[in-house]
Amino acid sequence: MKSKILSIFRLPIIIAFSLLVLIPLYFPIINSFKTKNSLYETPFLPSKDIVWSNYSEAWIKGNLFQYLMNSIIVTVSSVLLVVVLSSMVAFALTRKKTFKNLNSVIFIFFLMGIMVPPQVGIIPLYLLMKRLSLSNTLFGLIIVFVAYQISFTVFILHSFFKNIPEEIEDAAIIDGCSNFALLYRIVLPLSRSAIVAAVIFDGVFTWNNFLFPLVLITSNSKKTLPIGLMGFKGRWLSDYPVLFAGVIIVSIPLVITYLILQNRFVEGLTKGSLKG
Amino acid sequence: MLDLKKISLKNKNISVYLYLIIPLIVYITFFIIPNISTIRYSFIEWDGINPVQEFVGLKNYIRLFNDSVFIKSLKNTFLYTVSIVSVDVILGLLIAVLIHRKSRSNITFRTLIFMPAMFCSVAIGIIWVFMYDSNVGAINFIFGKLGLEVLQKQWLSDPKISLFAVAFVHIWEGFGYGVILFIAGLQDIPGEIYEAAKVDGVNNWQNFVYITVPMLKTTVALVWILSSIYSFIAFDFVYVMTRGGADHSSEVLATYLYKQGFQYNNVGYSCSIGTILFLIVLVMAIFQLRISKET
Repeated sequence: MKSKILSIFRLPIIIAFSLLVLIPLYFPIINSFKTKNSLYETPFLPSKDIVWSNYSEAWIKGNLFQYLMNSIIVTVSSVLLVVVLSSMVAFALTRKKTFKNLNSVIFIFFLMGIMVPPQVGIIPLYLLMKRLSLSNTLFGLIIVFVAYQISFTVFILHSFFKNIPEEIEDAAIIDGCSNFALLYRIVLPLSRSAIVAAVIFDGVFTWNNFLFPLVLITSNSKKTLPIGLMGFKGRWLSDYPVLFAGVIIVSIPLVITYLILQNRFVEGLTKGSLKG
Repeated sequence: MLDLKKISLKNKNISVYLYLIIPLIVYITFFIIPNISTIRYSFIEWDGINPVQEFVGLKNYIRLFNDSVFIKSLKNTFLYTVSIVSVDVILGLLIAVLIHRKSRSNITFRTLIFMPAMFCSVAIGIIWVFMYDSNVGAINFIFGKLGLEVLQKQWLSDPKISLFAVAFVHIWEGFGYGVILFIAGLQDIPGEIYEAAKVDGVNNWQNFVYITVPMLKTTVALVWILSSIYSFIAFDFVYVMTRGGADHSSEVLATYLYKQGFQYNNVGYSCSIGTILFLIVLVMAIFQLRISKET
């Protein structure tokens, strides 16, 4: 199918796009190992002597360990919670022996969340969290992530659960399986690929999310990585070496995970957009 | 048989609806209520603190359309969206056609081009503030080396270009999504069609125009809509890189909403911006749902 013109330009186009991706990543790497002065002298070449102090400054003075812990706590608990709650919803709505019309009404009610951008309700959400004394707490942030991702997660799991053959369900019920056992022992293990997709989609969204912690978290000790890094911008204004050390530390966990699990990531993240 | 019937009747099972209680409470309290409140607050004037909330009808909306900054940010949001979507769709399709075959090098390139989506927006913002820096930034340096000094600009502070400078970063981050969706679409086209066309003596260009593009119609529409929605609600890059400056030249709806709500304490006014943002995205999402149903 390749036309001749395309195949002549193929390699140059691919090289150009690769450079476009790589060049902006090259500068933080080389410049995070320089002193501020040597960056301003030669910003485009790696320096001869490697300076590690930017990393220790970012890690210690920049409080990155605390932010990393907060990010892990928030991401792990909200992803876990949203998958558990969503699988309960998807399970209840795909049972053959319940009320079909009621199910589709509830399903559509849950789907509405997919169509609303997070910015729309952000101010009432902030006021509500303040009134419930949940603003500036990790628990509050977690529950907000759960509420905002449940729609999408229900959608992914629902489309999978509804294709599990009725016979399996009937057989399990005859064997005296309770609803809980049916969900936990049969439906969930059969749906592993859908759950992996949901975990990746929700996990990446939560880990990198900027808006919710920006609005809901004020005290330094409760910041997640993206908001913590935002603080760097104010503190080390034009001290790019420290800023870049921060950028690299903050980015490494997810980028490495992505490189290891790239096929699953690509699948999970596109499955999400195709269906969402 | 009789037994089976009994069992399935007994299991016209209402108890499974208990599973919905906690999810519904969380979803209604922290998602549905705030979003409905946005619509309600858009009809009041309130600073968010004072117990008095004054009902003002459509006053906030009338004020919006006389607010030159709002009009500007509405225009900017559309410009921002159009520039991102056209690149995502046209260049995305081109790249996907070049690399959709499953070979080692293609998969490596796919991994690379999708990688920027893994960085958080603040990290990307810091990197690109440096890239655009007028003293040490790589962009002006590269243009200088190429002898194109005319193209050296104050990328983020020149009101004529700051919006597009931010849009470029948005493209850099999200471009891989479109490419991957296109690749998935291309791999779904059965190879027999091209073989049949080959027998009929169809050339490559005709192949592309008469087979590939029509077969990809739904994928193109999907990428177009998804890219439109994500750029229309953009907040992060603008907030991190320019805060809407210089002089609101890169202000978009989401950043203006944020400023009105959290910096100027105009809760009602901010919520009217939120309602308008919601309505526009709703129209886009309905289109998207239609397309997903077709696929």
